[in-house]
Amino acid sequence: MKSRYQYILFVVVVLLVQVLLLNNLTFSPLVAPLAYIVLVIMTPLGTSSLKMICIGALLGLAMDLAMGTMGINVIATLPVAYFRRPMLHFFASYSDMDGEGGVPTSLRLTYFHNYVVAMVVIHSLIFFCFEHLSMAHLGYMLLRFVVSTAISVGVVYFFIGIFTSKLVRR
Amino acid sequence: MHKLIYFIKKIYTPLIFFFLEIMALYIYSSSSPYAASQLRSYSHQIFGWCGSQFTAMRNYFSLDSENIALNERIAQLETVLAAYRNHYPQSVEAEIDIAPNSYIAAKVVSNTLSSKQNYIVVNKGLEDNVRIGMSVLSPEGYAVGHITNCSQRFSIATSILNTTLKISARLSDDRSMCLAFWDGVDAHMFNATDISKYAKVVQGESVEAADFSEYFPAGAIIGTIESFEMNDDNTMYNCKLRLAADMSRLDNVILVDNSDIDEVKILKTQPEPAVQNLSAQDSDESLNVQTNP
Repeated sequence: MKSRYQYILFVVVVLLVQVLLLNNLTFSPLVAPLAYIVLVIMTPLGTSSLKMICIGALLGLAMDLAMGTMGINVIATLPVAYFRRPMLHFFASYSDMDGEGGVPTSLRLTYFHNYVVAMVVIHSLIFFCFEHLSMAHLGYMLLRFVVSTAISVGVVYFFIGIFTSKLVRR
Repeated sequence: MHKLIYFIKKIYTPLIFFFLEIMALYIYSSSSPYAASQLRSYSHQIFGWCGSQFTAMRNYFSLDSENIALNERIAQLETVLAAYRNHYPQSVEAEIDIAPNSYIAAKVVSNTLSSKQNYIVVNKGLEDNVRIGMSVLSPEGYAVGHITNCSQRFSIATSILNTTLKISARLSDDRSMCLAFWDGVDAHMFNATDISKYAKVVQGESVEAADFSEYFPAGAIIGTIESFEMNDDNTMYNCKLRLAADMSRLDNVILVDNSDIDEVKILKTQPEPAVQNLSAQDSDESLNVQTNP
């Protein structure tokens, strides 16, 4: 039960930081970090595909409402959530037979960092591709993607550090 | 019903995923005219590409029927061309006096290669105006065989790969006469003998049916010279030919009717006075043609 409260608190904190802080970074148009994907990344390993779809859809919808975008966060988050299990297999060599589930951490997953970076990169790539929808300013789009993804990875690791060290004690 | 429920249970998560994703795309595309036009453009590109791939696949599988239609068209055009040749021999670059005058496209039903007397069965018979003695050519115009028997719907042709078939032939450039036949050994190789030792035999030169060949229209390619040597008496060349038609892949053929050859055959079988009379008639006709162009 305690774990559930920890997750709820984690979700609230992440959403607040994303909406109040990260969405309001105005010092450069190149910086648009999408760190809320950490909620998908840190979902327990044994979560079913249907639950992952629900989590992805609700998270994307919440971000669309908060950011004033129409569907683009759902478009980006839903595939990342739905294909999380194949990505765990592919990037982190995780198998359902490996363990009991639980929060994905570097202790449970051998290639945890590959998994985190891949999730953030794919999510950002889908987001920025759909945001631009054109090859006209490809260089600018790529630069924005690289900068924002790098910052997103940093913020995601920050959240993961807090969550795994303070909230989930193993 | 149980199977349907089981199937839906099995695929309901991907279905939900695609449904939600499409809904999100729809909402996003309706959010601004730019997004709508761009997404529409991309979807047209994707569906256009898929459509072109399906079309290419469908075209590939319909090649067989198209090939048959093309062969029939070739046969029709060759018939028209033959009619022109017969009416205006001077205007067409044809030196052939005995010209074929009817072409029929047919499909090979069976084709033997392993025997010394091989035969080809084609799917056209008396109903299609096929008759005994017609030449059988490949779609490229290479000699393949000649019809020896017909039923209402099918015909049997003696294959060029038949040791009993002796073809009057000539070198395409040198025009020296020779006798072409198959020795029953290799289905890709043919023989040409009795070429004059004064002939200029060149490797790679074509050997074609002679003007007076009873089996093939003049100029029908039989094969190309692969090697040649003088015979033991040093009087004639003997050649090994590579057969022009690929008999192992024979699928469609063209049947060529040459009624002039039949007339020549009839002439040969007539007694001496009748031949003279017919010759006189022929000469009169030729005079008429010359005086009345």
